[in-house]
Amino acid sequence: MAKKRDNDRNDRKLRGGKAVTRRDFVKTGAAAGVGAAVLSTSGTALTQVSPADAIKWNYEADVVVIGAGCTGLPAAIRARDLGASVIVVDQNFDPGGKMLHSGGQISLGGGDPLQLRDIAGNGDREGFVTAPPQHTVEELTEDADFLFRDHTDWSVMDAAAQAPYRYNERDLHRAYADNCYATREFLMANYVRMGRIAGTHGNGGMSRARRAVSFLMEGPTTDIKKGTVSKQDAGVAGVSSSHFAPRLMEDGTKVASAGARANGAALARPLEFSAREKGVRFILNRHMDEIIREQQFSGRVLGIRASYSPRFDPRTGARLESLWQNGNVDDRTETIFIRARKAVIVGAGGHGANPEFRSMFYPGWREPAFVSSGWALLGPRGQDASGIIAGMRIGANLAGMHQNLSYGSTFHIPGNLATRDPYTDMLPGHPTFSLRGSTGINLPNASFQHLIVVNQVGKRFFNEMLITTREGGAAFPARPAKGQPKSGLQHVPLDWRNASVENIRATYSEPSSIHAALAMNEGSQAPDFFSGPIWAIFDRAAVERDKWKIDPPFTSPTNGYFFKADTIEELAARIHAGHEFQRVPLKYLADTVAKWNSFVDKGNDPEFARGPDAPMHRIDTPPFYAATLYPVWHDSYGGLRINGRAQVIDMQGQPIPGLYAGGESSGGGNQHGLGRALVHGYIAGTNAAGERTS
Amino acid sequence: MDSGSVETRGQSTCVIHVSPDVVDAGAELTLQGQVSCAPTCDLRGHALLVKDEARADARSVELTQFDGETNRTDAFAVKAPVKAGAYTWLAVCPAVVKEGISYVEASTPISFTVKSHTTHLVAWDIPSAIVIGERFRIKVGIKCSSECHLANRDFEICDHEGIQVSKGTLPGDRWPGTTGLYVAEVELQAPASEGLYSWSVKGPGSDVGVPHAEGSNNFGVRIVSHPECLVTVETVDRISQTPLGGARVVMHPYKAVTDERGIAQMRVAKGEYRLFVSQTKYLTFGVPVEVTADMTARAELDLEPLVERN
Repeated sequence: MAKKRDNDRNDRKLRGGKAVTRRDFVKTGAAAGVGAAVLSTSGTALTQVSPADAIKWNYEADVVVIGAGCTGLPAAIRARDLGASVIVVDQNFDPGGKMLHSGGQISLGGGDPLQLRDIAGNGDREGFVTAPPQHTVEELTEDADFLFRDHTDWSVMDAAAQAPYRYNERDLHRAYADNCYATREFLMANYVRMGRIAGTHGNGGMSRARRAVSFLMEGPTTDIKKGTVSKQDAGVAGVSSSHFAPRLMEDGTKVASAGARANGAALARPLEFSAREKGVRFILNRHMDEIIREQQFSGRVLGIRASYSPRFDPRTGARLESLWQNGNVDDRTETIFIRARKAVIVGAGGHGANPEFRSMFYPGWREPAFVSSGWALLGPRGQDASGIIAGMRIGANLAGMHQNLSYGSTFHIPGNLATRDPYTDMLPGHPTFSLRGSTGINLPNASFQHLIVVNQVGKRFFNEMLITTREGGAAFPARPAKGQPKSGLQHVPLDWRNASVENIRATYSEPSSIHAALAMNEGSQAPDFFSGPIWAIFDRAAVERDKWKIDPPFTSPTNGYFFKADTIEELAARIHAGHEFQRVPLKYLADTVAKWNSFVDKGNDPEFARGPDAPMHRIDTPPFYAATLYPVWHDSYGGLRINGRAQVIDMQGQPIPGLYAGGESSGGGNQHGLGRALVHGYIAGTNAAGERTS
Repeated sequence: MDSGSVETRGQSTCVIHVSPDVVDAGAELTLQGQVSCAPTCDLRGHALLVKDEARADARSVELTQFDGETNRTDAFAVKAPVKAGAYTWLAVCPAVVKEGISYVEASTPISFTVKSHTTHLVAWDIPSAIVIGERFRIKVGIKCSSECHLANRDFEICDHEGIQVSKGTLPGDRWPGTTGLYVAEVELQAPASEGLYSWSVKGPGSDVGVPHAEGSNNFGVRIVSHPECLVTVETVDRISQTPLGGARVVMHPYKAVTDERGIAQMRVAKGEYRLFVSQTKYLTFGVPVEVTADMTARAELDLEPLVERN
């Protein structure tokens, strides 16, 4: 089969030499008429390709929001609440972004309403939250000043010896702390139910508990107003996901009550429901290609150019459609222009799926085989850095670009084999399942004793028992396993000892497997020296010993991420023939397996020190299996610089009039997950609605 | 051949794509032919001839595609010869007169190599610890690269000095879950002294019918002295204190599996070991033990913590 050197999107956009230059545009545009649909992807040249004074606008609204995710939905609702008309565009066929497949964990704090609820020992208005509070009053008591200090503590080091809070933008985090209370209230007013506060999510602060997970109660039907989700929509373990929730909604008994089903669907769907109810219009299947300003580097932002980006079911050829339709504007024109009378808000996600962009931080990540989390859900244009690139094109500055290196799950190796989308475990039932083809064989760490892992030439490269090991972000409750000298409330903020050499020596636990996986090997070829795919190799005995589920939907016989053969030699040949990113033969695989079996016989592994932590098992019982074990770039940090009003800042330190951003499209805030983006969206929606109308 | 007056002579060029260029004896080769003419000419409906090494007409294949410059056949399969060696066949585009132009015959060699079928051997179900002098059984599997039926195929087992210690014949049973791995069970005699030995299973080559190359594979044989101590391991869930059946107990090289009462027993030699107990969804239990007499150990396993969903 044809081997890919890059992903579909970037074949054309970043590598093919066919990117449209300004000269090309002028030439083509003159022939086609200015404003005509001459560009189907964003050009690479950092010039404004659509002259503002010649544009014929197809749509207008007070506020145009790019991205229907964790920043975009709250921004849209908030702006609408304040009287603005709002259009949301999203490149995908369904709103929700990565929030939809997330765990739904929302860390806010600063004395937010849920902290106060738990301090008082109260439940919720609807009577869903009956579980007892999980934290003491002291663990929940704080104010905005306390939260601000916690999020900008220079002294905190994590288990990878990185400083997650030191580089956070101060103005942004002051505003964040000041708006957490209002954001939590806002979520609750828009049908989002959240359980007890339980710890704090990655990089959400060291000193207090701030995290609550969103949930719905299992009921006979899915009814957002009543707070219920049907059993089918919530998903059946090991059997099915749903269009409503692409990942199985988990048991929320401990944080709410029996029957609670929790994850990001219980956040994304209520926000989407509320936005539609309030009259927000959605233009889906629509990729923002350009933010249009009066002049490229001056004047107000006027609107956007967006191209049609439908997705199709590979089995039926039918276009994928959103779960709910009310409020949708189904425009299939190739290119449209949308005018923003007040402001444009960029909530287009991060850059984790753009190999060229992410390789600015780490050249090994130019390997296109590896994708961002939610690859199937979001499609090839999700997380493509388009919001950041569009901002750069009109003069925006960037912030926090180095902070990708300050969170443990930014990139890592999940223990989910046999899928290109290993971060998530989608089951059949969601419309995009057919695009991934397999859920994956999700193995806990102990199960790695039954396999070996090899690189693209068939050589082992790391101790398999450590290959998926990673520490979460530095967050409450602090503890030595996360890099801090003291635990919980004993943590001392702003203490130089947190960053002392002695503490780092005592707590450092970076396993580095991801770096070994991305390293060059004998199959790496100029000019990019891609590391290539990674394969877990095992046998029938392993499957039977550890009771793995290797049949569909956990694997697919046709998607090229799982192979079976009678002999190791045949297995190597099948991988090479059948996997799109396997560019070279696995010429060492048979020797590697033979060598491994000899190590097992001897009872020790001189190459990678397997043995002391788990028993070793021969790989000798046919048939033999190979399954991908793919690194994933989960979330990204670093993006458009924004101030405390969520305004995008230019290279001179001034706000770009009419342009706001948040979440993973913005930088300077190294907090993992949903809380950061939700607050940014709330702030951006508030201030965008207050802009003068142009 | 088209009718009409001949005014000009044309040239044609013939190219053949061969896949693979090294092929198992008697297996299928995939060919695709293309013919280009000067001046350009649409030859759809005309034939391309494939002649074998004796230059006999092996096959006539129709040119079915024309892209404005080049004529192509569909991909087609031919059987490779059954004798190993280098071959050169010939593709011939016969002379043709088309639209008043006479194109002379063109030909091109088709080069490929025929090899003996590769034989892969596998050995498994080898006991991890075999007592000196005792008899033990292993499984042997043989796979032909072209998935030939291997009933009655001979094999032999050689010890660490290359001396044949057993031989057998495949009964023709295919191992479940495989497409062409033929299996036999063999009983062997352990050496008389302790140690880790590298033995091998060999499949001799054969030139009868389709040629098969010789194959071999090594496997380890761990010979231990008579184990004098009985180790009993009780395995339970730490929280519920309920027995864990089916847990794997390892004291290298000794192995056992717990029964429904969570108990496993194995006889081991005196010495120092690391006792492992592992069970699906549980953290692996591992402690150093010194065995000086019969002993009982208790392993309390903790469930592996769930990975936090972000």
